[in-house]
Amino acid sequence: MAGGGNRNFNFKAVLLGEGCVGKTSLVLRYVENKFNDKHLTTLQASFLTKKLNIGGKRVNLSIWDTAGQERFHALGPIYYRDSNGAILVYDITDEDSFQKVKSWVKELKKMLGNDICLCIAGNKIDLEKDRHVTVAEAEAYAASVGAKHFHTSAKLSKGIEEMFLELAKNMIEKADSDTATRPGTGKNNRKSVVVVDDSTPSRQAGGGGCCGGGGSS
Amino acid sequence: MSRYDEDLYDNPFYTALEKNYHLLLDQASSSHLIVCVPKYELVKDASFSKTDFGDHILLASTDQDDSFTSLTKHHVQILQGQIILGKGYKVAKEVAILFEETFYNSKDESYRVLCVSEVFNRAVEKGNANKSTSPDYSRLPTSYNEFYQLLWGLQGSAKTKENLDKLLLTFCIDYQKFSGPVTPTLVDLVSGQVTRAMQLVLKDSLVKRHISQSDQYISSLKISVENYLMNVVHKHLFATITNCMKSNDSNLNKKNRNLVDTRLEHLHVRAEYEENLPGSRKELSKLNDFSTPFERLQCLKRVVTLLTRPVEAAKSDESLMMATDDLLPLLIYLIIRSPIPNWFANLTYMKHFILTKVAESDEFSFYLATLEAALHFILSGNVKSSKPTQRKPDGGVGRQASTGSFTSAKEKFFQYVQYGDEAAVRLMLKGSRSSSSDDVFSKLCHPLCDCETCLELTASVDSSGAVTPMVRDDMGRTALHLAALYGQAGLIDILSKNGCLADASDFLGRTPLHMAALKGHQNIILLLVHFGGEVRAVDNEGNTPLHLCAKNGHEDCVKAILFLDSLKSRVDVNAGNDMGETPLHLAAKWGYDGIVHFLLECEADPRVRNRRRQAPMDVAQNADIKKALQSVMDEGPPLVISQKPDVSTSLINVPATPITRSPQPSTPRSSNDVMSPYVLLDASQESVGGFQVIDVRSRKDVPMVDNSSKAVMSPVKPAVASLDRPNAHQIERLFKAIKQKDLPLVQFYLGWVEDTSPLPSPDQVTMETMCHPLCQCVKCVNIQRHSMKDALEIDCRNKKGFSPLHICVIENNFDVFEILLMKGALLDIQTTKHITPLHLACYHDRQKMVEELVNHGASVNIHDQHGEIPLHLACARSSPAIVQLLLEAS
Repeated sequence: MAGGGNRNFNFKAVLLGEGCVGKTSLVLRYVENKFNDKHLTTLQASFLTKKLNIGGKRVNLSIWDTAGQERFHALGPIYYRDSNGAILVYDITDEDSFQKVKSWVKELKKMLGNDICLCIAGNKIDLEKDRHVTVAEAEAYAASVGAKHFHTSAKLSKGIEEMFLELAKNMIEKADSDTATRPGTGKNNRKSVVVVDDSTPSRQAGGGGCCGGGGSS
Repeated sequence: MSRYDEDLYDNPFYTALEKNYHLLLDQASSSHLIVCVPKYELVKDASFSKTDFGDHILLASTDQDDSFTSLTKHHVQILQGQIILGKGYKVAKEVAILFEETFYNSKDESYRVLCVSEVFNRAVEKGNANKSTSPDYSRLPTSYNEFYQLLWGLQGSAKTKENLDKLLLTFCIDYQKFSGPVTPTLVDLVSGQVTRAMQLVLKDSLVKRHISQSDQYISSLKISVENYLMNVVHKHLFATITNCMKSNDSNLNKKNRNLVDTRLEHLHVRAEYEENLPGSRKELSKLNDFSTPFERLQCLKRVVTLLTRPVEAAKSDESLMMATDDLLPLLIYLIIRSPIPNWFANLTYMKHFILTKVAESDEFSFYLATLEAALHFILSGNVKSSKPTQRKPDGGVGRQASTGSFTSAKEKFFQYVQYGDEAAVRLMLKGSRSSSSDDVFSKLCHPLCDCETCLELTASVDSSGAVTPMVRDDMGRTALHLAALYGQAGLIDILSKNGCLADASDFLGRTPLHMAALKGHQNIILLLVHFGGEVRAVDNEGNTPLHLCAKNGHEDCVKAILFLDSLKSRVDVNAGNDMGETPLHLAAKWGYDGIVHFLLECEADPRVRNRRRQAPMDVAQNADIKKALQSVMDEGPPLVISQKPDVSTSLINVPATPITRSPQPSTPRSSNDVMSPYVLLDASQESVGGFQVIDVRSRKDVPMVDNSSKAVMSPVKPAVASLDRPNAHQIERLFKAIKQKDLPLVQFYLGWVEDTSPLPSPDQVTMETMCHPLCQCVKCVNIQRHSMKDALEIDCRNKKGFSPLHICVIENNFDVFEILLMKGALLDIQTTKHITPLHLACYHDRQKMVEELVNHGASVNIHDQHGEIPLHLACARSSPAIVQLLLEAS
């Protein structure tokens, strides 16, 4: 038992990036469930979940794909509001997609301030020979906006798990520091962070209600 | 699709493993093993040996993806969410995986834990023992039947039910009294009610016993109580929400109705997904059949699930995996095609009125975000704007593919019509230009030039590319249909004069008038009617043009058609289509209150029932509309529709006047009685029901003499008032138009042409201002009609003596104000209280208007009823600029 530090987190992470950067395969690779693969019940990669347990902290991660096409641009806020983290994906062979990431970052910072943890993914490193976005540039940019940068490849299954793990850790840290600085006064725009005190099996408190067999007899 | 979840740190199996066999877990981390943990209930009292744990820890085999070996060397296969126990285990069986969780240790190494529904290598008695106890509450109920069963089904107490039902009935009353915003006030009201209901239920001793028996019972109970309550109150609750969201919904409906011809390719949806559409569409159409927000959300979820069901093609093509960029357009398409008239109300209902959190809350909020995004996208109007860019390439392909010169000429012709190229259309109709003669065309001095060289050039071209006015496209539409569809007003004239029939109908039985009504081109409707378009024409579904514009929310077109009606009595406002629906049904259903009021004014009968025996009342969503319909039904003819409060919808253009259905003068007394309840509009605007038109022959001479106005205005002159009543309405409408800054309408009522140039003689507003005595452009048609009819006098006044000039000052409508001055409106015209426009301008602090009035020579020294001159008012307002203007003028 991890004792008093045992907590449940519900996090929402949005996936941003142009249509062709491969964000769908990225997230599919991450939540890929070997045991379900052969039995596709749905065809969608727009909403996926994954349960993590990081050093005794349970994280229920919902990954929301966003509408990336330009015609849907104005709808962005509907998707990313209340999110705890964002993963911004670009294609290393496509300079435009990197510029698009920059504009997303700007928008997220403007709308959500520093409430959101950012990760930038340079995807398709299997196509290193066609690289158009230099490593130095990308990493320098990421550092300048306080985001973590990862080199990923859905094809080779590289860097993906590390990225989501890092993001989850960041979000835990953020949630912890938020509750530490503002005990009791939950921030209203962070509704999706639900910290459930494990010792009360009753759900009347209005908590996450996600732990099934909580109490002990 | 199990939603089972538990904290594995509370699971004795896992904690024992962690405590006693730490090394096994370390090994699991470094070599990516899979640990299977039986669910809590199976293991809470059990103890385990090392072999038991070994049985549950799996190692992937190197050769095959889905086969594993346990640490005890037994064979296991994992397929389709099932663990298949093989060689080595005592019982070979399939065990369901409940959920998967990835554990990370401090070195970021991970292993996966699968929570499973059975212990692997144990005898079965354990499971049997478990079944005999209380029913399983690990799965939350999802439908109303299940909720009901849970609450009252098994051993529910009749007394509790009785009490609860009583309590819920009192809740319904709360909604009738409710006023305020939906969020958070209404949400608070509902959650307060749920709390009270819950308190009541928890007092029940049976319920108490259940809670002590099962940990999961309470969450099931909570959601059941909430849904039971919602089911009882939903009619009142949802009506309240609908009412709050009505302007959003009628805007959306208007957008949706106008997009019904949207096809999948307009939304860039891949054709492969089409296969799933019919099923999800059917599911979506049931949305309003569910009472509680939770059930509606479940319905939405089923829609998404159906939409994202793997299609045939996806099995070989992984790129068909649906991302939000695909899902969103599909949902948009479904919404556009759906028969649901209250989307925003539904969204609010589902978003804010599900109070119990369930395990799928995250998933649900994603669906709601998608729905919200779809609605906003439709509302933004971008669906439509992306259309032309889509169509052009299509046209291009078509043109290349076609070889015959006739087809190509026809297509070109239709394209010219679509884009309004008048010159080209004219030329093609003349038959003097071939499709292959672009170069010739470009050499002409001017497309219409008929100098010798040009004539030669055009004559040299063979006429095989000519088209007849009756040429039709692949939908059976003529050029006139297309011109009406795309709003090419200029072409209507050309095409009609070249022999296009105004009454031609296409495959769907639609005439050009239908097209214009669909798209809301008012000017084209007027033109088409002029050229003989039949306003009573019905399409294949029995819709008249009036049906279509009522359905699509084109208020100005409804007005246009009804105006024609008043002239020629050709339209039957109560005509039913094949579904038996009148225009009033359609406008009521989709929530266009402006149109509803207008139709009622024009004697539409709210009692007509459609094929489903529904009166317009029954299909209306919006409380205001219901009220208007009800009041007409209650009072019976002659009918007066209650004055509409100033609702915040942009659609309303209808005068907020007492509207009578019978133009015949009734007895003086009753006419006054009918008017009296509607006398007051608001404090600033005292215009009223009964009116008076003053024939001012001596305009511009002297300020109107008080006693004459007094005499005429005095309220006890019923004979005159009732005689003038039709005109009185006209005045009221005029004032309304001024208030709404609807310049064209003002001009229409006053019988002016759209000529704002400084030609101030009022006499010019006659036939002379027409382009040509027989001209048929919109402008001139209006003048013609109007010159036959009763255009209002520029200085007409209502009962209280307010003139258009007064109203302009009150409503701060400077445009009309200026025109009125230009046209020579009486400057010193006084109301019954001797208020001049100048008084009002000073009172309302309208410096510019004061300046204009003074410059035009308005008298600054007229006393009002209280003896105040404008200067008094300006001083009271403490506006130095105006004071100075007045002083200079005096």
